[in-house]
Amino acid sequence: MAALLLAAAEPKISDAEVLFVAHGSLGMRIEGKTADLSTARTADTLEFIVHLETLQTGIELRDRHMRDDVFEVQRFPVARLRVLHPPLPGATTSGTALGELTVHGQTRPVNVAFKLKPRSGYDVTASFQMNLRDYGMTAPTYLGISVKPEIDVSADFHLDAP
Amino acid sequence: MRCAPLLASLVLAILWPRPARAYAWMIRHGYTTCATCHVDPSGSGVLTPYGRAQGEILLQSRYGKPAEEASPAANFLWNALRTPDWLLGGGEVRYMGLRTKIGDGPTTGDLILMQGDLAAAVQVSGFRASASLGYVTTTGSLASLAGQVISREHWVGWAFDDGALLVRAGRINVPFGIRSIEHTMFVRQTTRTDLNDTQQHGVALSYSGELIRGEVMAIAGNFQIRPDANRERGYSGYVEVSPLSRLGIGVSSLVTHAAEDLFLRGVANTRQAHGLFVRASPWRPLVLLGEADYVVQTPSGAPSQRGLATMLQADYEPWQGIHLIATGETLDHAGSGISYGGWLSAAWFFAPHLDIRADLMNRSELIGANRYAVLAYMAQGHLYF
Repeated sequence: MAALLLAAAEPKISDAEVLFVAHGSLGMRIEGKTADLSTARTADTLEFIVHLETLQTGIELRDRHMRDDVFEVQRFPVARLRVLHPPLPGATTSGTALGELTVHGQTRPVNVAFKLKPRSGYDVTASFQMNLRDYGMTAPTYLGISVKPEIDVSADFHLDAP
Repeated sequence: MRCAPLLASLVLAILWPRPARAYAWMIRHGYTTCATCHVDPSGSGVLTPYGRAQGEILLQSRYGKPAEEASPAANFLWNALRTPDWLLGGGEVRYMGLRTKIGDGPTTGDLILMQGDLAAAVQVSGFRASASLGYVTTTGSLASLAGQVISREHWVGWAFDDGALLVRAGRINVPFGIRSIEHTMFVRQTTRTDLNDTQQHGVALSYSGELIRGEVMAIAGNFQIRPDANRERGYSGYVEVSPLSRLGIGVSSLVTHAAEDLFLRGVANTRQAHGLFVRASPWRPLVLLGEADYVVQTPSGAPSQRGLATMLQADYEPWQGIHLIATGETLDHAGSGISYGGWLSAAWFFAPHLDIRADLMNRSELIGANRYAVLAYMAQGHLYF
């Protein structure tokens, strides 16, 4: 996947939506979204960067709890996903890539499922799972309702043609 | 006047005390299940601590305040009386001014105490219990314990799987369709599944999950009415699937039998109701609620009566705490005609535990061979504590 992306001199992202889904007790489902997704190239990797303070769950107070108590965005403002060993490019490709996710100041490997579809560049969808505890974060509990530490993360975006 | 009892029933349907709160439009905030906010997993009644907080954070107008924690005033009795964590207190008072005009008759007015309930719930480990005790100004309530003293619900149960599963027994709101406070709507009246006083005694199993919620109840009868022959026995239940965080699609089913149906002049009757319902919030300020129920009654010695009750409601919240509501409803009497009605309503949750609401209801209701125009204006104040 990233080999394709690396072909772009200055990869640019548009129409981005990064979504996380957290699962709580008693059937609670929390969705957080942001359109703030950017990329940065290094020598042989590609980084995807999300500014965590832009994530919104639809309830202002919950956003504040998420920013201040879970992500601690004052200390750790961004999440970075670095794709390490990119698979070979293809016209339309789907598969799994090994990445490194850095959140809350800690880096862990993640398996990223992806799909690339050519369209004046590439339409990209990607997803992975993470566990808050692996990154030193505590799954929140609020007035008897607890959130499970396993989080589903996905992203849809268009990578412009070089 | 031959139609006097029918007209009286029309008026009673409007006047009858309104039940506890249950706001299906909370799905706009992604709350597809009810169990996070209510002790009753299918909604209404005593609030959990989380539900009390949301009553201030999400329900009432915030007047430009930034995201703040719920104040102590969100607690039981505005925090005047602290209860231990395992004991949840609650209660409601609802008072209404009403003006009604039926057909060519005069416009009449009344002031009614619709609800005056105290309630409490217990949650210790998996143990759950909830009960309400209230007073109504009318007599003959199906929830009557003695005269005008009523208990709409009282049950005990045990919760499993971190509360997702609940088995309970007692007097329980009948699980069917959309649980809303507009108990006089055709869909609630024809299925006898309102929150007001049509609760039944029985045993129920509920599940509250992220994708699916539902409840099924074995109905043993309403033991607050006599004789036993009037009691309906059977089952009722619903299942709702939420493929998206602000969408719920459900089915309901109910079959009961009474040896002497209280509403059909004491003849044996088997009732069936099977329906679909939808809750959707395509845009956060807007929630659409829809329900359609096919109803069959099979009274002994008489032809079956079939009908279709429908309801579509749009709830628009332009500013947090203010709701502008438009509702349309129909009741198809299977060949003999259609009753239809429309509601325009406005509600304002303006302070902790307090809301006011105004309704304009216009119905063309078919009863037997006669059609009646019913126009009602209602203004009500509601306080929960």
